[in-house]
Amino acid sequence: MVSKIKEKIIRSGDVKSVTMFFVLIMMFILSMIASPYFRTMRNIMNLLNQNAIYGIMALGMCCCILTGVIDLSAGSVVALSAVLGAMGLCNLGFVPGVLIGLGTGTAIGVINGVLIAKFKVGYFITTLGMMSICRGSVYIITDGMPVTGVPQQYNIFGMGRVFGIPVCAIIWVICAIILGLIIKFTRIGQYLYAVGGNERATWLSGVNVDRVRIVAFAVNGFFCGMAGLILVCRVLMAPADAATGYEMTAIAACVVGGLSLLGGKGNVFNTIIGTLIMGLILNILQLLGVSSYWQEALTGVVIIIAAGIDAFLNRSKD
Amino acid sequence: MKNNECVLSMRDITKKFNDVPVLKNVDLEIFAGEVHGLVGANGAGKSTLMKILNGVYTNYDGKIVYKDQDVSFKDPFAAQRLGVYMIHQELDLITNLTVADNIYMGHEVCANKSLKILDKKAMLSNVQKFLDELGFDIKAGEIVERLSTAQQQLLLVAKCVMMNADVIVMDEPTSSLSDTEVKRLFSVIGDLKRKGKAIIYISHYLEEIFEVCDRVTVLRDGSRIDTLGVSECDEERLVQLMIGKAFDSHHKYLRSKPYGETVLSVQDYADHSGKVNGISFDLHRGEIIGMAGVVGSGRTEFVELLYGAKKKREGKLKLLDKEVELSSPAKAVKNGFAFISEDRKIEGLITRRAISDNVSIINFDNCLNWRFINYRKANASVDDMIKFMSIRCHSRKQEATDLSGGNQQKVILGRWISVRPKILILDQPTRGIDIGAKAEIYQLINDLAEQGTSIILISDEMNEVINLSDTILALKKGKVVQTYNNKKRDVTEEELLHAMVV
Repeated sequence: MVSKIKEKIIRSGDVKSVTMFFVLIMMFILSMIASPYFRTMRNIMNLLNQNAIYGIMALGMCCCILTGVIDLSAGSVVALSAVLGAMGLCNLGFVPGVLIGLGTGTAIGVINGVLIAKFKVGYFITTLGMMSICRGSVYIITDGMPVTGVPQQYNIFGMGRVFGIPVCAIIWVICAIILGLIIKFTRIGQYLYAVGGNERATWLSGVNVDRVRIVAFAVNGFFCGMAGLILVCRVLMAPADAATGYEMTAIAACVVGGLSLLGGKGNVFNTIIGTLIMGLILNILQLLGVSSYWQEALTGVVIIIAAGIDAFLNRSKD
Repeated sequence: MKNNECVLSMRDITKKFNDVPVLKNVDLEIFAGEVHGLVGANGAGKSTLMKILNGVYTNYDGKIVYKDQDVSFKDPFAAQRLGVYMIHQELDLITNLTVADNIYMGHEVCANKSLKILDKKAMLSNVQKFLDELGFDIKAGEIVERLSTAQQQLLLVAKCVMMNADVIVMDEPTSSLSDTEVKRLFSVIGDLKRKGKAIIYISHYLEEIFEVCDRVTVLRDGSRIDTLGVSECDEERLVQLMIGKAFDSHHKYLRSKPYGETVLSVQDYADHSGKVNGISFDLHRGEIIGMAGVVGSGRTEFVELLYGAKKKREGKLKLLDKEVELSSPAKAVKNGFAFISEDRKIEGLITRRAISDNVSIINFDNCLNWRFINYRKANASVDDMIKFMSIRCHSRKQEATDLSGGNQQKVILGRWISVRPKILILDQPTRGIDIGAKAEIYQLINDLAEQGTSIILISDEMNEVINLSDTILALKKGKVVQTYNNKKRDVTEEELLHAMVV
């Protein structure tokens, strides 16, 4: 029975995502043993609340990584969407604010995508440049000061609970399900994998590869915009240095969860697992009273160990 | 090591992948000073056997005896230290470094031993001297990417000899060489033989086996079928051993009915680089047009132009009397074109993805419920295709890159056939494919044409073009130099070759 399941997993070529799922379960169990606080519902909900922003960013990043590229500008796009969104929320009201936030992210995603697909600028340099452009724009717009005065009632989207479940975690899960279904059940979703597997072969098969790339970046931008809005609702302001370095957390979450940086491998489920693994590490270290300096270093250690387990399991195949 | 002494013997080798045996109790004995051919269909286990010998796979049953000692190589480097070298088909050279750098890679000469400062001068002069001794026309200081494929091949041979290899494995060494270059390689192999080196020679081209080998071992489905001296057998016999039945490479696929109306009319196609210089022809429904030409005749460039994969300088295209502009592969596909490129790995297979993803990528358009993919329908058609093409695999979920060459090609053919193209462009559809799978693909091409698909077929193998095509265009320097009516499959290789090169 066990060997049959094992064979099935190996043949489906999805060893890594299964491994990482068990890594998450193991970490969960170990954390439950290590800290009595961890077991509380309150803490679990906190964990979800804290990681919803990373989780939503990782969903977008997942689309890029499936096509074999990464977006280094994601963190800055979150900040720019947050600042413009916050201005909208303060001055124009809820709906315009949300539209501005999401629109900003999506528009920058489209620009990234067009530069990469149509003008053939490398993705690394395009998104690196866009990272500076967006961060710079934030400082220009805000003059380095946070945008404040976001109405209190929007706090529900950042910190609120429904039946004890964080609203932002619900948003995260809904987004994940919708994105998962889109990737699985639409052509463009499947083309993400094809482009990541072999761009030229996909192009020769009559797929509009440029469009696939632009859509991938647009979706990523959209989720960055959403992450920015949740951030604003959480702290009721938009700091100019918001979300610095978040793109790396999002990329790490995807890779830890089981996506291949080469593209073509993984799914939304992987990014959720990866995000939770990353969040769980930090959570348990906090609960155990580890100093924040050590937290950062140990997070790195756990990322490498988690990825190392997979490399080790794969190596022993032959 | 004296000639005709057993230098290497692999005994009772068994290797399994996920409990599926790919080698079953294989024995192989190699003598010093012999060229030993290793033949078998794709998937017969040749490369697995050689990877075991070369230390790539370390987990196997059986014994390797090398120079009277039991050995097991833990990696390719360990094999090399003892004198076992392999020259892979995709020449693994570091192309941005020089010839000398590549030869000394991993064994660099240091001017200062403790500081590990390289003695580039000494390496250069050593290598140059050595290359001259071998009579290779290669400069030691040249950057490898500026060398021709043949020179790169010779460079790897030189590396093996210079590092004192006693056993050299050559995997399809002639697959990208011209005739004169092949002759050159064979004379080098002759020299190595006289020096007492043992060479294991893997090739799909049987005539090469007879030209260069002393003995030949035939593998089929992971088992050793026989080892025999080349003087004791002929090509027919070898093929029979390889596929377990007789194969007729001269079978002519004659058409049961004449082809129909003109579907495609190409006028004065030319590209920007000057490789295609005004090609015109008409293609009819159910007709196979064969394109023959040497490498560089513009045949591949032309079909890429036709398919919209390259930008054309001039030329008109009429599809069923309607002028169309195919500016991208996507437009070509919409108009019923299909294109199978000569480079399966780079332009065909979608790596890291399953067979089902590879087959359905275009067919998704036909499996939609509103805008959503109906997987039941898509997977059913993939399964049908696997059965129809007799693709040998565990299931549709297996990664396509894990399949043997012939089966990979069938996956790509399946991708296109599932959308029933009107015009199918095949660029070297049987390249690197074993004889058994070749026959299946020929039959398939013929069946498609009978069912009304119009086909443009490019091939290096002239009997392939002659046996399948209704019309043959001989190409030279981007122009059609001769058009043959081949309804009776009676054009001869001689006249075709004459048109191509003279």
